[in-house]
Amino acid sequence: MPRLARKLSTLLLSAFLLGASLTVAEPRPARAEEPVVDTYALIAVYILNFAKFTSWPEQSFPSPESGIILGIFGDDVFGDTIDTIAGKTVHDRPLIVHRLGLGGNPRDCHILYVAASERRRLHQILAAVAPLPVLTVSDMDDFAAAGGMIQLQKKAGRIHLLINLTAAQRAGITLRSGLLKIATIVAPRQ
Amino acid sequence: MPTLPCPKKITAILATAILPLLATAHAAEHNGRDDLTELSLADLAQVTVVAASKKEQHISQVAASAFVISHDEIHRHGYRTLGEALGRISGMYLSSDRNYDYLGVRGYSLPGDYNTRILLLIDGHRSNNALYDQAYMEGGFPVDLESIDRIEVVKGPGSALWGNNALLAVVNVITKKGKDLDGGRIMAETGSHQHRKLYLEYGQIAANGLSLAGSLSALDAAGENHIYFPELDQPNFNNGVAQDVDGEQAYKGYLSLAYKNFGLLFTHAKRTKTPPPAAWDGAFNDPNAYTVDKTTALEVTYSTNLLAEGNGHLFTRLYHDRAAYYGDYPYHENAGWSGDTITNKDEGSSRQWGGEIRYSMAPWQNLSLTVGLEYLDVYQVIQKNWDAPPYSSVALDTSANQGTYAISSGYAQGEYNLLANVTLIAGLRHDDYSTFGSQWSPRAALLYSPRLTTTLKLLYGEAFRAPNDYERNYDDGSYMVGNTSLGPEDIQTWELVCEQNFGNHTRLVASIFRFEMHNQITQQTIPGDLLQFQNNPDEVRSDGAELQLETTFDNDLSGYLSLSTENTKNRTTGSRLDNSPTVLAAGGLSMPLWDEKLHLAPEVRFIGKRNSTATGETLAATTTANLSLTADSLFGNLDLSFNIYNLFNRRHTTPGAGEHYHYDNASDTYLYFDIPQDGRTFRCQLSCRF
Repeated sequence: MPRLARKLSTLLLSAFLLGASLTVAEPRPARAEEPVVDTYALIAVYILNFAKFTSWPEQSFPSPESGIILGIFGDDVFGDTIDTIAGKTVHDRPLIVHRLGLGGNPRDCHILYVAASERRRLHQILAAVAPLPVLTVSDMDDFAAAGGMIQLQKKAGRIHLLINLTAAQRAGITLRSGLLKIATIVAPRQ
Repeated sequence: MPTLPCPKKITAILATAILPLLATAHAAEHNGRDDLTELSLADLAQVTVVAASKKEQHISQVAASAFVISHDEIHRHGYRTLGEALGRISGMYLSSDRNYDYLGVRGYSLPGDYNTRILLLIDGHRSNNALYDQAYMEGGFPVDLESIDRIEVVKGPGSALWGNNALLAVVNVITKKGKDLDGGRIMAETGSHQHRKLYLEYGQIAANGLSLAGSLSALDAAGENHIYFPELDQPNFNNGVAQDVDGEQAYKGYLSLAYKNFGLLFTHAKRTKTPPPAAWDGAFNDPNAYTVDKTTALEVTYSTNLLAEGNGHLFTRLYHDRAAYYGDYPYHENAGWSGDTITNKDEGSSRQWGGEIRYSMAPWQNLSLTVGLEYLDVYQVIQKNWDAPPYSSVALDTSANQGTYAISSGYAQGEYNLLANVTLIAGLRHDDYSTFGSQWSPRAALLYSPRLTTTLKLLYGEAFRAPNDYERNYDDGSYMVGNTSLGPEDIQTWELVCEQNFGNHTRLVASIFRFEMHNQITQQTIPGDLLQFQNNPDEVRSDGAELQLETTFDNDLSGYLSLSTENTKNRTTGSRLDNSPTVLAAGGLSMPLWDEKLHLAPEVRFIGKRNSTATGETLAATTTANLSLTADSLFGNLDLSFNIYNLFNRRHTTPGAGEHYHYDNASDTYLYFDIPQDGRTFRCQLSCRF
C-alpha cells in the first residue's frame, strides 16, 4: 500500500508543520508565574542560590579575591546552560565553573555537582571530598541519604530540595536558614 | 528508467515548511529564556521543569567497551554517512560495494553480509529490517547525519538486553531533540560528481512543555563517472570502465516529539542507488539498473516513575515499522555480453509491529534491577523475483509462503555493588521464536574502579542471530536457492577492558578480547555450479587488542587515535576471513584556528591488507586522508564547511562478494572482481540558522 505510506507521510509532515507552527505561535505563558524551563537550566540557578546561602571557612579560599569553584563531575549534564551562572558574583567572589569530567580533582572545588551518571562511584567520590568543606550537590536518587549534602528531587514537574545537614556540618559548611526553610531535612543512613 | 521522485516536489515541501517557521521564528526567541538567576529560592520552587534527556550512566560505567561520537565530531570531520563516523572507533572499518556500505567490527565483515551482526538502533528503536536483518550504514540510514545528536557505540555482544543481531556491536543513534535545536536551520550542500543536498531542521521546546524536533532532506548525486574494474578490462565490458552508473538519490525525514511522559519518533527514508558492479552477471554499464530501499518507523513511548521516591521507572514502547526494497537488474539473455537485455525485478518487503515494557528499580542502595518483556510480530514478509515483460517469468514469489513470525522475549539484568568500587552485573534474555524455538542470551560483568580515574571491566557475553527469511527462503532457482533448515548462529565473547581518564580532557580505553562464533551463517556456492545458498558450516574465532584515545581540551582542541589488531579466522578452514585486516588505525585532530569559529580537522585512516576469496587476491593496505575546514557562527547565524575526502587520491579496493562476477563468453570464464572505492572528492556546505 504505497498510497497509504504517502498519506501517512503527508499526514505526519502536516502534523510536524502544524506542531511547529503551534509551538512557536503560542503566546507567552498565560500564567507567567509558572514558566517552563529545562531541568538543568533550573538546577543551574539553584546552584547559584546555594552559593548565596552557604558559608565556607575562610581558609578554603587562597585569597580574598579568589572565586567560588563549582566542579561538575561526570557527564556534562548542563551543557551551555551553566553559562547563565558562570561569572556571577556571590559574596564578592566570582563563581567559576570547572567541568571535571571523570579525571578532574573533586577536592579542589567549593561546590561539587555529581552528575547522575556517577551513581556507581558515588561512595568513592564522597569519600574523596569528605574531610573538606566541599558542598556536594546532585539530582541523583538517594543522594542525600547516601551522604551527599543537597539533593534536587523532581516531583510533579517541580524541584524539591533534600538536605543532609549532618553531612554539611561535618564538612564545616554552614547552610543559612533561608535555604533550610524551603528544604526537607533528611537524616543520613547509618 | 525507474521513476525517481521529483526533486522539485521536495523543494516545494521544503519551501512550504520553511515559510511558517520563518514567520514565527521571532516569537520563539523569547520563550523560556527569562533571566531565572534573578528569582528567589521561593520563586524557583514554583518553576515547572520539562524532562531533560539525561543519560542514566556514564559510559565508563557501562558494562562493555562503550564510546560516544558527538554531533561536533561529525560536523568537524564532515562525516557523510553513519559508517564513516563509526570508522573512528577502534576495531571498526568500512567497506562498500558501491550499492551498500558495510561496517566491519573486530576483523569481521564478510562480503555479501548486510551488517546483520550489528544491531542498529535509532533512539533505542530497532532499525535492522526483518527480512534481511540489514542495518544501513550509507545513505540508506533513515536519519540524516545532520540530525544526529550523538552516536552511542557498544562493542561486543548485546543480546542479553537487545536480542537478535547484537553479535558484534550495538550502535544507538540518538536524534536531536527540541532542546538541542532551539530554532531552525536550512542547509545547502554541493560536492564532487554533481552531489547536491538540501536540508532543513527545526526544533524547540514550547511554552507548554512540548518538545519538538524534525528534519527533512533531499540528496541527489551522479556519483563517480569513471570507475575502473581491472578484472573486467575486456572489450565486452567497456574495458572495465563503469561510466555514469553510480547515481544516488535519498529523501529523509524524521520527527521527534515529547510531551510530559509521552514521546513519539517517526522516521521515513527512501534511497535509490545505481550499483556500478552490476552483480550476479548483470548487464555491465547499464544505466537502468537501480535499487530502492524504503523504511518507515513510527514509535510511541511512555515512561513514568511508579514510586514517589523516583525509584521504580517504567518505560513502554509501541511501534510499527515497514521496510521495502526493490530493484531493477538488467541482464543479457545469453550469458555474457550478447543477446537481448532483460530487466530482472527483485523485491522484498516486511511489516512489523511490536512493543516493550521495561521496569527498572533499585530495591536496595546496592542493587538495581531491570526487567522487561518484548513482543515483535513480523506479520508480512514478501519476496519476489521476476523478469519484466515481454519475458514475464516469475522466479520467486513468497507472497503465499508464510515467512511471517513472532518473537516473545523476556529479559532481566541486575547490578550489585559488592563494594564501593566493585560492581557485579548479570543479565539474561530469552527469545522465543515462533519459527524455530528459543534462544537464551546470558552475560556477566565485573567492574572495578581502583581509583576514581580508572575502571577495569571483565566481561563475558553470548549473543545470537536468527536466520532471516531472505536466507531461508530466497530461491530463484538460478542464482540462489533457499535453505529452510538453516539454524541460528551464536557468539561467545570474553573481554578485558581498562579505562583511564587523565584530567577532564583525555580518556584512554584499552581492551583485549576473544570471540568464538558458532554455526556462522555463510553464503556458499554449490561446487561446480554458480548457485549460492546460505548454510551454517563455520566456526570463527577472533583474538584481538584495541586501543582508543580521545581528548578534548577546553580551548576547543580535540583529537582521537584508535589502533587495533585482530586475528579473525575461520576455524573450520584455518584461514583468515575475507575482508579481515590484521591492523587498523585511525587518527584525527580538530584544531581551532581563529576564535573558536574556524576549525581545521585532518584525519587519517589505515586499513591493513585483506584477503578476497572471490578474486584470490590479497588487497593492499590502504591509507586515506581527509581534511575539513569548518567556519561556525559567521555573522551570528551562518555556518560554512569545506571537506576533502581521500585527499591524496589513493586507489583502494574492497573485496568483492560471491555475487560480484561476470561471465566472459570470449574466454568462457567467470570474472570475479573486487570493488574500487572513491577517489578524491570534495564537499561544501552552507547553512543558516533562524
